Amino acid sequence: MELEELKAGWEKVSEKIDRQLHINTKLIHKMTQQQYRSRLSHIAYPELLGSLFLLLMAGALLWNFDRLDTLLLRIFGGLSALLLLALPVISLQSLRGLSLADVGVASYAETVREFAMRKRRFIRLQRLNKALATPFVIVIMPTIVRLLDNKDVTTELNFWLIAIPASVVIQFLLSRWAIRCYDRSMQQAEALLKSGDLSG
Amino acid sequence: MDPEKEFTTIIEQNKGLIYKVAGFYTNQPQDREDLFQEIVYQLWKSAGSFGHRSRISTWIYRVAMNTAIHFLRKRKRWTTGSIRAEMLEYPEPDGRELEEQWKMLQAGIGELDLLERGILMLWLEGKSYDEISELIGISASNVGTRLSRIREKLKKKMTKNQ
Repeated sequence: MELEELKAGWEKVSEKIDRQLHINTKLIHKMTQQQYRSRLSHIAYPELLGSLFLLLMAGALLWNFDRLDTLLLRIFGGLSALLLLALPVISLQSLRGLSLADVGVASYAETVREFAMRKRRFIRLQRLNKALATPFVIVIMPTIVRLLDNKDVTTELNFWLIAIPASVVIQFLLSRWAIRCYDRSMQQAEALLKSGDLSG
Repeated sequence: MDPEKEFTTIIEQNKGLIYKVAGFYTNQPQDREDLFQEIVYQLWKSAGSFGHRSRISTWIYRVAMNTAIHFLRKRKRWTTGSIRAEMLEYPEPDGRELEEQWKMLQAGIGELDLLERGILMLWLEGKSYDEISELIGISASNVGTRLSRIREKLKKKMTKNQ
């Protein structure tokens, strides 16, 4: 499509909008009210609930830590607690949004740069989250079994020969798929930042 | 003049501009109208700090285009209010024609990055290089260079589609 064609299309749209867009004082007043507006700053409830669940699990694990009675289980338990605390922090960090306070002050180029930088940070944190998922599964499994079923699976051969390799393979495949999904977005963000005027 | 009345008048006078920005950054009618609503809200919030330091239309473009970028980031979590249905009451087939026109434009600009989109939209609005430069925050000569790049991209896309 040529620029001139786009311009002709744009003019048609402009003309139709001027004719058809109805907006009155009452409607504008409604739009300025918090309860009616679409909530850009809406809290990410699923992420928040997921993080809360992980934090509660970490609390429960630490509360019952003395029930992990071998060195290996204690190491696994300690690492599990650490990851249970780290994963929600990473998740919530990656969701921290752009501040809307500056929409009337910042230039468009500044906002685009901020957008691209945040996007890159988000993808990096998501990748980290996915990468941590595999060690998390390995250390949490024996810990949970010990706490819920009072069994020490680390002494069982099947755990090392079947459960661990299987979960590593599954997690690896899942993570690889998830990370691939972010690749295109990452490339776009990088391209935007490299683009002349946006390079910091 | 009462600030609320003044604000309402400004929005009424510039509703087309706001709606076009909303349409330029979204693909779906629902998103477009949600973004329109959000832009009006952000204009209302930042009206106090405007202080007539620049032209009203410059301020509106700035707030609207910046808000559109925030919208792109957050749209998965966007919730819809009850205003949408009240805003556009166009008679058929005019409504369908307008939607077709939007689709055609979206197909054209789909390959452009955010900076190029901003520049192109202002150019389509008939802004001069200097005005685009002021609004976007890049030099006027850069605006020209980027417009040439946009032209090439669009041509390449057209050749690919043929």
